[in-house]
Amino acid sequence: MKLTRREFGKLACACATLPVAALLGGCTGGRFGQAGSAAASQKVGEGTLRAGVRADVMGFGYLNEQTGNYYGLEIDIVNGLAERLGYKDVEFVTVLPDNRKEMLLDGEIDLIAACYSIADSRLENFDFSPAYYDDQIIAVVQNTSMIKTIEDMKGRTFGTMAGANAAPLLSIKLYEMGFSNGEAISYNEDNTNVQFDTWHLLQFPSYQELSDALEEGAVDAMVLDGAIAKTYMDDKRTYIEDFVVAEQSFGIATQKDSALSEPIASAIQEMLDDGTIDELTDKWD
Amino acid sequence: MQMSRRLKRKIALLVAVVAVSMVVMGVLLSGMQENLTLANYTSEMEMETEQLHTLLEEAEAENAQNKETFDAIYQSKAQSVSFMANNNVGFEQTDAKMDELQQLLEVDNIMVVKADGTIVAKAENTRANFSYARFNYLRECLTTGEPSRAVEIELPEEDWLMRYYAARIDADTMIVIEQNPAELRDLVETTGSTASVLRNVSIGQGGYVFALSAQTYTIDYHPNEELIGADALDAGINVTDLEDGNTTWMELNGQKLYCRITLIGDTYYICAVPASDMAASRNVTVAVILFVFFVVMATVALYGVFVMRQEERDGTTAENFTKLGHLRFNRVIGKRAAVFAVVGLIAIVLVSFYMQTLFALSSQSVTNKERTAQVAETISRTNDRADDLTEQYNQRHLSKARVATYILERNPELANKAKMQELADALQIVNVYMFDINGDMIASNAPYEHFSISDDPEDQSYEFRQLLQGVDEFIQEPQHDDTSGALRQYIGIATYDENGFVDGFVQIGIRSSRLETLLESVQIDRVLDGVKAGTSGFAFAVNKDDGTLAYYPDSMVQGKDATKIGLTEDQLTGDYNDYLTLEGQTYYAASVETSDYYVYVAGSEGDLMSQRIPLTITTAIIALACMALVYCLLTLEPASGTMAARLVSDDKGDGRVFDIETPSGRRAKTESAASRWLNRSLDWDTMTPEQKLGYVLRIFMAIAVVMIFISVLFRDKIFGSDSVFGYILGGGWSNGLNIFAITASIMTACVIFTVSFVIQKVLHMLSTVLSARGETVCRLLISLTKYGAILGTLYWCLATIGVDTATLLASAGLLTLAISFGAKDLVTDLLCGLFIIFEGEFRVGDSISVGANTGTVMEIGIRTTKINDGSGNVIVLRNSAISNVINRTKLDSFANIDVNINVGEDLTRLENILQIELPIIAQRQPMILDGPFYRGIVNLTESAMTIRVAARCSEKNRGAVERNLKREMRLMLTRYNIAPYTLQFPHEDDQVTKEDAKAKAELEKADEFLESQDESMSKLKGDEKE
Repeated sequence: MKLTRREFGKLACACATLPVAALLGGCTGGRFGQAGSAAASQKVGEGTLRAGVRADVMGFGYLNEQTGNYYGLEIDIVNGLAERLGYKDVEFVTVLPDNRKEMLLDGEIDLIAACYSIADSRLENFDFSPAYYDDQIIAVVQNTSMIKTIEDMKGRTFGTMAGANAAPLLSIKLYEMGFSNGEAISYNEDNTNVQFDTWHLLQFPSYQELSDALEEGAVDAMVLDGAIAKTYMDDKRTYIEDFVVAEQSFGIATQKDSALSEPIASAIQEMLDDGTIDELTDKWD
Repeated sequence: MQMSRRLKRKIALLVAVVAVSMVVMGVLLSGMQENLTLANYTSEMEMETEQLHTLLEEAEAENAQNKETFDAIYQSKAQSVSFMANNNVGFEQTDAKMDELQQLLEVDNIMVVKADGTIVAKAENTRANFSYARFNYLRECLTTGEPSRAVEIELPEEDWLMRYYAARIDADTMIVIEQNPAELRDLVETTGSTASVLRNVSIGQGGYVFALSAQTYTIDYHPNEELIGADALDAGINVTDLEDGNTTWMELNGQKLYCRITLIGDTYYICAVPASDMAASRNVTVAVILFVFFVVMATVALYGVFVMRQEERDGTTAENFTKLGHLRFNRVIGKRAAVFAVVGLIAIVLVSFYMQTLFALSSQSVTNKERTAQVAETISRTNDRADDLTEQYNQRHLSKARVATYILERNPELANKAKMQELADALQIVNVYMFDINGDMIASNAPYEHFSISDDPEDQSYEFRQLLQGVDEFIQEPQHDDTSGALRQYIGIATYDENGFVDGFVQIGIRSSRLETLLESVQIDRVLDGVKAGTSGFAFAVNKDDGTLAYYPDSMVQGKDATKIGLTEDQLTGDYNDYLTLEGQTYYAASVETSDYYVYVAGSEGDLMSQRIPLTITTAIIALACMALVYCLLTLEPASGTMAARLVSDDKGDGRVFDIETPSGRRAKTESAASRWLNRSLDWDTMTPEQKLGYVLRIFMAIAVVMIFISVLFRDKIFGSDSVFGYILGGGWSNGLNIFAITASIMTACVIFTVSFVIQKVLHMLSTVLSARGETVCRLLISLTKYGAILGTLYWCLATIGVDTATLLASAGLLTLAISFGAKDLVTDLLCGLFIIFEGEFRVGDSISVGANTGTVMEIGIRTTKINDGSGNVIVLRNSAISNVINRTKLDSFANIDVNINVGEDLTRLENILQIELPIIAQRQPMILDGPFYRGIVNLTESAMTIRVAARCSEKNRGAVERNLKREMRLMLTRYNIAPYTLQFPHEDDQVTKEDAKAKAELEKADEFLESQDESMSKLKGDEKE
């Protein structure tokens, strides 16, 4: 377990620190917030709100390539937010799990609304609004593999998307339920292929590739956010019953202590209180 | 002429009231109409939605069924290989054997795979890694011994779409078949896909169902293929409208749609009716009613205005008014305006009811027509599909027969009942038989042991004899089993010995329940069973050959003669569209002809029909209210106001308009006959109110006719070809006394009259610039056009309404006889008219004498000729009565006068006097061109002699010259004391000197008088020819 934690801590650190360190000349992890505030010097409600959103998650952030427009719950929330904060324009920028942190830290975007779950590790670097959507990380299998319960997965391969926090959460979950001892037996350089005692982990650069690997059989179960899983479900696939890797909540992330953090948090709270978010969730469900 | 301020105010008020009434009427009418249409569509959409659920479920079931069938085929193939492997028919786990089996089984790939996923032998390379848990389904067969479930892998980006099937060889080995399911996908696409379901759903005339994903909001299906895949939100749909069960207006791709949304699964199904579709017909209905309303209001209001103008001109008298408190009521206007108002109101009610009926029935017709078309399409489609599928099944079963033959040929030891049963099970067929060269059964899985194929060509088995005579394969048509009634099909394949000679054949028997269901579904009753037309509608079919009911919802009457339920012979057609009476109930029905049947869709009249009366009544009430307001405005005025004074007294009518007393005792103004015939327009100011009103009404009429004309000509652009009015103009209804035929007749009449009017006007213009003969021909052509148009319209309309005009014209019956008697004179007149014109007996403008009538020809009609007798009287002569015509039209004419003189008078003296006096007369009478000449004695009796004097003059002056000559002769003869013209009453003052001068002065005076009389006379005749 320790090894695993250390392993993933290292992973997260590497991802978060390197580009910023290069940019700001060696700030440590704990001081990201201040640097971020400096970058976002713009006043609230002025100019254009730049929002980092997903382009490939149906119902949350989806880019129609024919028209170049984004649709989804997060898009509507950001639009509502901009309206409440007094922005005239909203610019949507497609972000990937790989680069969203950097883009926010670099000040390329003002906020992340991209199925970004509120996690302790992330709270160190970012401010989060109250959660606007509660989700679960789940495992999807092919019917033809006849895998029904998590026990059937013993000795088999899990797939996740690199950059999402599904992999660390999965390893913790499997350890906690006694499925595995948490020891990684072997792993490659970028942790995309890790062998544990009772399971195997493969990580893929995109959800589509993850889904394809499941179709082909290279992975026996894919672990991902429930919201995203919907996009990749069909009648030949099913969830592993009674197996939830983690509960998580999506929130809007802003740079630590930035001028936007407080107004966004209160605006989202307001939208939660007056039922706007319920309405939007209902609309996009 | 000045208008008083009082009148101006009144007119302004009237205009305002009429305008307001129009707006109120328009808004209310279109609102009501729209609500009604929407309600109608809403209920239809609700019904469609309900059906949609079942349709989609059925499609889903069909898909599952198709998939099952497809899987069963390949499972049985895998199983048959497994059978081979275990029954010593030369099966080897080699690539070469796999190739052979791949050919035999007609599959994409066949492999021998170990339980751990290692491939032992294969026909082709595969991308699948069978060691993955993904293929656990296949491994199932190892434990169960049954063929496995299918595993499908679909990776479009890698171009990898395959289904995998496995069957057990031994505990650790299985046979795996890899097959591309393209065929299955195609089948699903054409029969069970959303598109294939939605394509067949229509709402009203132009409505349809489209589907969009609830997740991506992309359009999954739309009749317009360009829209498939487009983003619905982008195309204009508001995401908040997309709620299950919502009925609302939406916009898609710039088109306004009335929609009902249904959420089934992850897809929104939206029943949509284009607004333009609804509006087109509705707007026409509303516009026509509004137009009539406007005409009626305008008529009443204008009449009042005209009468008031007249009053201002002529002055009003107090007796025209009745005092009502502070107001006074104008009785003159009141009485007639009331008549107009009542008649107008009736017109509004009639037109409104008529238009509502037309609108409702044509909507219903179009819907019925569409339903029948749909049914016909379904029938032909299922027929095609049945053919396709039969063919497909034949191929599949043939393949099974080949496998059976392959196995039995290689291992003759299998020819025993137990093994045959095993084989039949593996192949998933009912029976396997093996026959020898004599056609005797060697072995089978059937419960009987001895069977030989028949020698009797009548028997079912006889056909298989051909297999023993050199035919390789034979597929028999599916037939119903005599004993069980189930659909059975037999397929035979010849077997050969080592030397290649036929030594028997293998026959398989299949009972395909799937094909059976399919063939059943093609039956007419299955197709028609689900057809709904409105709430109480249904479909039925009549057999074309014998006129029996092939399908009827009440199964009791099925198979009976169609006339038994009330259909008549002439209703048995493929394009019926009218009311039907079935078992005492009246339905509105349409029919269509298919290859075997006349299919009818009969429905109740629908809500639109039942709403006609309330709508009409509402319209009438609004109209009544508006009318009452206008009426009050017209007839009532403050009692304190002054009466109109007589402003103008000049009669500018030149005597063309004057008062007459009608038989009912009413004084009315009329225009003289000559003035009417000469087509000269009157000065507006001199017209009576009635004339003005008539003029205005003619204009309204003309506008209506021209508008109908335009809408008929450009119907496709205005209404669209599939709209209700397109339908009326398209003539899809049946001839007969129905509302469509009547409407079409009216429309045709309008078109014909517009065209004929234009032709007449052109000819009329031409006639004014052409010579006399040209004018005559023009006038004739005008007559021809006029009568031609009337007769043509009459003929066409009668034909449309269903009168058999051919019979009407051709039959030598009593009617023709009667008509021919009556028409005898008419025909004579027509022929005479033609001769007059073409022989040029006289032309327009000629002076002619016919019998006692003399005058100038005004018009040569096709039936009558009108001549002006010179004193303004128009004589109408029937052409047949024009005989012995004296055409007096010549350059010069002679005026002859005869004078009787006592026979005892001195003729020589008289002739001497004439010689002196005639040149003097010539000087005094400028109209005389030559002469006068003395022509001697034309008559001589014992008491008198008659002398003749003639003078040359132009024909038109002849009468005048004759009169003047007579006068001159009388004066001259008296002056010379010639008997009997001597002055018998000499006057007192006989003074010779003065006498001469006085006589001269008197004569001059008399001459002047005469001249003035002549002048005024020519004025009186009018100046038509000058």
